[in-house]
Amino acid sequence: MKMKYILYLVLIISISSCTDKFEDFNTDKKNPASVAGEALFSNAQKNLVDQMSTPNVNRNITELWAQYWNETTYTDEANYDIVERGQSQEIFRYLYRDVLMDLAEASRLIVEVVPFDDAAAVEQANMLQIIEIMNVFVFQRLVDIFGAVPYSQALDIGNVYPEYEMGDVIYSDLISRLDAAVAGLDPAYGSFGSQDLIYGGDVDSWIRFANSEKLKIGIHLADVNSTLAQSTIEDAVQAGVFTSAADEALFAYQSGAPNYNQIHAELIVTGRKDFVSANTIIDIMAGLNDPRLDNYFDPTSIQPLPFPVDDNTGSKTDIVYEDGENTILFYPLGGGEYNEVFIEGPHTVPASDSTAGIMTWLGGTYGAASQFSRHTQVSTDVTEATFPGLVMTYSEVLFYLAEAAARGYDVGMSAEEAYNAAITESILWWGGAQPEVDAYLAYPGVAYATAEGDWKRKIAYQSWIASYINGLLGYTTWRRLDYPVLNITPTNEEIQEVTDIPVRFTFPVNEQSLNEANYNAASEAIGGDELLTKIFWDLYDANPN
Amino acid sequence: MKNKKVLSFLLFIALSTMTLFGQSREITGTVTGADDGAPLPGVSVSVKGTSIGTITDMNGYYSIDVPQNSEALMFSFVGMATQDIPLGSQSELNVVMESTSTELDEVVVTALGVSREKKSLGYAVQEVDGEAVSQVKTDNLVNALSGKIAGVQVKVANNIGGSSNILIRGSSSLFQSNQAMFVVDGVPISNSMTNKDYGAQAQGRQAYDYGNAISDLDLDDIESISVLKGAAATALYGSRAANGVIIITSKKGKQSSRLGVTVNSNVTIGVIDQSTFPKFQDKYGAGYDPTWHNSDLPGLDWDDIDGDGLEDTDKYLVPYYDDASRGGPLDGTMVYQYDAWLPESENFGLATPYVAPENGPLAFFDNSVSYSNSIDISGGTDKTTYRMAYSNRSATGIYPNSSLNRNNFTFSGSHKVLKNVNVSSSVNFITSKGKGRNSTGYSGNIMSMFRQWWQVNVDLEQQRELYDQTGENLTWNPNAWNDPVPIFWDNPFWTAYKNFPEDKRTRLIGYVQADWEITDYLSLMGRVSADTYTELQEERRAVGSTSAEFGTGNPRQEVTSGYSRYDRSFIETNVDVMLNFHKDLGERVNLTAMLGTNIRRSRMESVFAATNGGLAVPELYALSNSASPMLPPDERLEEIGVNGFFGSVSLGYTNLFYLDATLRNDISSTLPSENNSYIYPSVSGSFLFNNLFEADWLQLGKLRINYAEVGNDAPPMSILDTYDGMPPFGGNTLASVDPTKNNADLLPENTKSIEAGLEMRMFQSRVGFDAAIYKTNTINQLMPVDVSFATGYQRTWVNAGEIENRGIELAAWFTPVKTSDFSWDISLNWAKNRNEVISLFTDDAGNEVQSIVIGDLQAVTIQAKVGEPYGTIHGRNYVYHENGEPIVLSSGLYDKTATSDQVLGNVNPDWTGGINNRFTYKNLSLSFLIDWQQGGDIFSVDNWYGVGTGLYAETADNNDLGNPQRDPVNGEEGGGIILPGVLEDGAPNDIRIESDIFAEGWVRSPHARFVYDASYIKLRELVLTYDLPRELIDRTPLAGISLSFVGSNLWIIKKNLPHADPEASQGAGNIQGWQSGVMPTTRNYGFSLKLQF
Repeated sequence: MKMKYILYLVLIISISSCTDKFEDFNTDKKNPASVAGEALFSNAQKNLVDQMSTPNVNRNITELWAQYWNETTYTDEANYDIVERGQSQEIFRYLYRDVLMDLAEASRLIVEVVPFDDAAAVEQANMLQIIEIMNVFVFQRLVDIFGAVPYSQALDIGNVYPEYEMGDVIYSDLISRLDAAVAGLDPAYGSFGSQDLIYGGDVDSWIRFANSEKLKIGIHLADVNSTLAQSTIEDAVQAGVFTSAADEALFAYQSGAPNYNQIHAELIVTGRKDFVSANTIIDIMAGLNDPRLDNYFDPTSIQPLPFPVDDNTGSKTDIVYEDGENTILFYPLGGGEYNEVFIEGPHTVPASDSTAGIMTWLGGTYGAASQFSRHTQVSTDVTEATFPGLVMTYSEVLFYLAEAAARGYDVGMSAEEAYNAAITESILWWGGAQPEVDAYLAYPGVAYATAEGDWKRKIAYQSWIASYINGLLGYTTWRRLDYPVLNITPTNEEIQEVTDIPVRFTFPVNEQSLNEANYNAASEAIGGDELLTKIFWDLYDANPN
Repeated sequence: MKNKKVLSFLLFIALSTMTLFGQSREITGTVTGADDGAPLPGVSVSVKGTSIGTITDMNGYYSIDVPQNSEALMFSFVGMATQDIPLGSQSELNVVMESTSTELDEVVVTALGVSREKKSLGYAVQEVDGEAVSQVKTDNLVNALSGKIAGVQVKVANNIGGSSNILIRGSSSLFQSNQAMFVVDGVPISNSMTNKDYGAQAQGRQAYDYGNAISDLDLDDIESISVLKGAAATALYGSRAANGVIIITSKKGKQSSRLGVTVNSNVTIGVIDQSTFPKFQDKYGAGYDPTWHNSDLPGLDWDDIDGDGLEDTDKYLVPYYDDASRGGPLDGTMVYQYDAWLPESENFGLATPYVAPENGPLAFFDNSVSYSNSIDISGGTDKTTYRMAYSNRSATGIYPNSSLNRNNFTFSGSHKVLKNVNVSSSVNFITSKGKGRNSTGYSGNIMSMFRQWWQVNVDLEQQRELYDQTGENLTWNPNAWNDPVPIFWDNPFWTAYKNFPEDKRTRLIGYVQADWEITDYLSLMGRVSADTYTELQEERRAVGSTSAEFGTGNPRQEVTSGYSRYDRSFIETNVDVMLNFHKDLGERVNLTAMLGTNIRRSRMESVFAATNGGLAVPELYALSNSASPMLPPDERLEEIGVNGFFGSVSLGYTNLFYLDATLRNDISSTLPSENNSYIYPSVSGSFLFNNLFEADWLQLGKLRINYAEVGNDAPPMSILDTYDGMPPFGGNTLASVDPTKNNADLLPENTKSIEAGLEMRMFQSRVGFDAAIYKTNTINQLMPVDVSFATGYQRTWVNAGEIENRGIELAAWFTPVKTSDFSWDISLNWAKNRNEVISLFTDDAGNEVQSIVIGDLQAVTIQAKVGEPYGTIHGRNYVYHENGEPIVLSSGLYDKTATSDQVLGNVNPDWTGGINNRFTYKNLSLSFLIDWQQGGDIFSVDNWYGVGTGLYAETADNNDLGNPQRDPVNGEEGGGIILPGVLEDGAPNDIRIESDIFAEGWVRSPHARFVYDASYIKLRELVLTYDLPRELIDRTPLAGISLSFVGSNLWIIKKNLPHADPEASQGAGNIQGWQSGVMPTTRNYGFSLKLQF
């Protein structure tokens, strides 16, 4: 009898404990199992631009390596130590995991959507081509940083050991991919609409961006494969690159966290005082009386001009003023704007211009500790929450055209025309006025005809100055054109990890263990996973002087 | 006042209970042991044939009211022969009890709460008496186990109310928890690390250690602890018991003629052990290098103070903005220190001598003080027993503004509802609160400031006064003389009083159980139990602080102010049904069998929400006070269901052989439905060879051997992929592919273990030992393995890898002296575990992963590497010459390996042990426990930076020439140092270099330079107890009074890590072997009073 009850009991418990609900238990009820591809596309765009703009020392240190900025107290990164913090790993993490993977998934999801009419089908095709253009842009960035990266085998969890491919191979494939993408775009139709955080889904803009990107690839190839470079560039220009600032690829950051510019996040929100200007750029720009200096940086001091006082009358007298080192004479225009005046030799300022003053600039000696409060700091323009993310500017494109023309390619304008246009564009972009442009272009150290050195030197200096805030671009300009002369040796050689300025980033440390065989093969193929191994397009050594 | 009332009330109850038995006479007496004549406390004395009973007190004394017609008194005690003594007319009855071959019948609690005779077990179980863990009042039950059980390794992190790591027989799982499972009276108790972002906290990101949930248990509630170490012992518990089980039996009411009331009161004061705190140098002040500054004196600045465009050369400024102490000499030069620019300071506008301050960082800390008070009331009849207890523990930590408070309410009771049916139940209600716990991360962590980034010229009392006067963040580390905003570090008192976290947890643990004795050989047990809690963790950063990672988002934004709250609730319910069979099959053979089922459901829900971009209004800590629109909160919901079915059979043959076999089948919701059922067996046997022959000297001789397998399921939600929602951008929705690739083909993981043991007790049990040898392999591990980022993912779930643990354990005891007045007992625990990662992940193509990063710190990584023990420390090593010495380059600095993947050490100790000595003389007893860890390595981030920044005394010592090492190098006359090592040709290094930030610390040194041997020998506990003699308390209603002095961590006898305790860490968990900003250890002095009524 008793046994029967027990059996009943066991039976009841067994029934009540059925496992029907188990799949429900193990379903994530707080995260979506499906999303729209467009949401992934937007996220990829934001992550890309964040990676390009962040000055976080763990993630992107090209503002330092281009020697625009210097570190204040902890100078490891300015001294080329990327072992301690593993920045390369962070770049892989950002660009593969957070950009390329989201692009790939966006593409996969968009393809799956069945378009409800023909127009929708064309829009869908447009979206896929735009994703493709983004892919090209990101892969070029990866090649320019590392020299060789996982490419056709990447982004496949089915293959956790993707092979690396050489930069030149990737480059040629990127050109074909761009061609195919442009061919597949139909500007009569839309695409992502507002989910496209760069162009609002405007297909025409994407076509010009794709051609400009092709121009960029072409110009990188110029030293190493001039024939391919020429045809690529001439094709791109023919097809239509940027023709005005309206075409630029900018990312409109918003004022609130976390959608503000990453420079704002790191320099203002954190309140940290990790960066000041580097003496490299301050000295070069001040030497040229560059009008962008106070757009790029806030001067260390702004003081009235010390007009001598006549002992008898007690009133100010004219002053004969000569520009000192890193000082600029200015006339206030009101509202915090200044008219900076370039002078050569002794210059008399009449006492009637009593508001005239001098701005002083002091860049931190690159690689040496530089007290924050004593050195020139990054300007409040740049640290604005809504300062745009710079994907590609018109000025950048014009410098490519100048270089292409100088190399003898047909880009529809002369090197000098493009050079002047590029500088003009940059100064105006940063808020300068036409008179400043005119004065600057007229200065012998700037004017194309009289500026020092060959075309490479002239263009390199100006292009490097104009690439400010786009750290990798400035660093790449120096690597490609071997100018400007950067400060090679930090003051204390003991803290240097390397004997010369690096010309690439070493592969991520975790690739050594997670993808060892391919890491080894790639290291050997590029000539060693070293900071001083050149990227394939980098043939010549930087100019020491 | 209040306490007095409670006391008199209790006395009233106690007295009135006694008067219930009016028609009776009183018999008194003392019970002693035959071996040594010592009084025996706790002997049960009952009137035969009735429910009337009592127990002897600490002096072996008893007093019982017996009805007039009683026949005999029955005296019984574990390990002693029960005696029935016929009653005559005497009023005093003294009894001498003989020990049986007593310990043979020792009963221990095993898996699922089954009590078994210890001799019959084929696996290792070690018990600890409740008294032994409750004497020393610690925050955390885990701490009380340190050194007391062979093979149990406890690591106390030192955080205020923080977590403690407990490993039994080493780490067996690569990624899942290796912490032991806790079970109280059959109810599995959550011991979660409840930190909202445990992974980040464990790797040194900005966070707090909120402790592990087992710290909710009150030590005074514990009757005994039984530790099941191997898989055979725990197999019946299933998946979660793979790391061993700690079974706690709580105190219960006992059948007794009188109400038992016990009051415990303890106060403990903790004082920093200065050997675990930095010893600062007092010779050089602020700065990174004396040559980097721009006055005519080393390490001091000039600046244009009066605004005339010229530097004022009469005012020497300290480099306030540098958080290092490699600046100018503290030679009394009149300088303008940071407070000279603060109108609030008495030194405003004044130059003061540049000297070492009166009050260094130690002045920041308070002594910790804790009070524990408990009252315990229990009693029972032959049908009903009950116990209720209340305890309160309140403590203040060594940080200003830190406190912990916990209340435990317990009720348990049992009642025989029918002749053969007993129901029992227990409820435990716990509230706990914490405030001002120390940060364990790299920002806002006052300890990392003191240990890594400090100016030794700063006076802490000045910092305190400035904060007290103004309530403002007036820091020693401002941007510049004319900009008082903090550059890197806040005033520490601001941090303590403004940026403190608070947490509270409300918890209910309970069960209802019914036991039905169906026949004399068959019984059925049914139990429903639950453990549930809700928890809130609030964090704040006040407007005006330096920035730190804070709030939600990935990566978290760095902000200077904010408020976050993390709400978490957890519930686990278990339904257990067990049918037990026990029958003697003939004279020589007995059979025990069991069949059961366990239905487990758990649910964890949490919401983490934070302000975004700072606080809009200062001092208002509410989500609605977010400066920017809030980011979406991070919500989690984890549900787990496991249905288990199990059975066991145990055969015994006349106290000679025992054979046990178990089988369990689990069906788990966390695995794919086609793979979610798994079965695992265990078999164990024991052989009592002492029963083969008669030998007076041998009381027990037992050989045991076992083999067991345990299956384990996956963490929840590792099968199906989901996307991550991102904060929207304008009106646009953003989403991302989750960085972890889930796996729909996961299989259960499996632990296989084999163990043998020998247990002996000799010479009337004055000597004994229990030795075990074991090997455990955990295979097919469920782990999220890191993959190349180029796959588009960070990690992917796989079944792979094998870890092996092999070890020897020894528990031994010895009573060298035993007389009627005096005895000396020694007990010893020793264990050696060898851990090896046999394999990791091999993919389809045969590529084998050699190493997996478990913890990625700023400087080093902690890895699982094939062929090495779990938890190797990796970083840049010295480059060694073939003669074994580190090579020094021509620069005079160490050469270092190009990559940071070199093995520099590992976290696993060579062995651990504890020796406890206990001396008893009459009413006085003294015991002390020495806890020993030999080996294991630790990387000190603190020294890596702190030596570099020149904080520690040794960085300012004289050099080999007898000159101050920081003086410039100048041949035999000057300073500088010669790093120990050899030149590239193998000759001893003779290159003298400046003793600066480059020669020392992190900037240029290989990590290996800051890896230390983590060995220690500690006087862990010392307890001196005096039981008041009977004569003194005879006329009081009290049954016993005892007074104790209890000390813990009184003395670190030996260690090799300078400036810190090698045990200290960021908290419990798998990532160990490194220190950053760890808390000092306190020496704890406590006084306890125990009153029994």
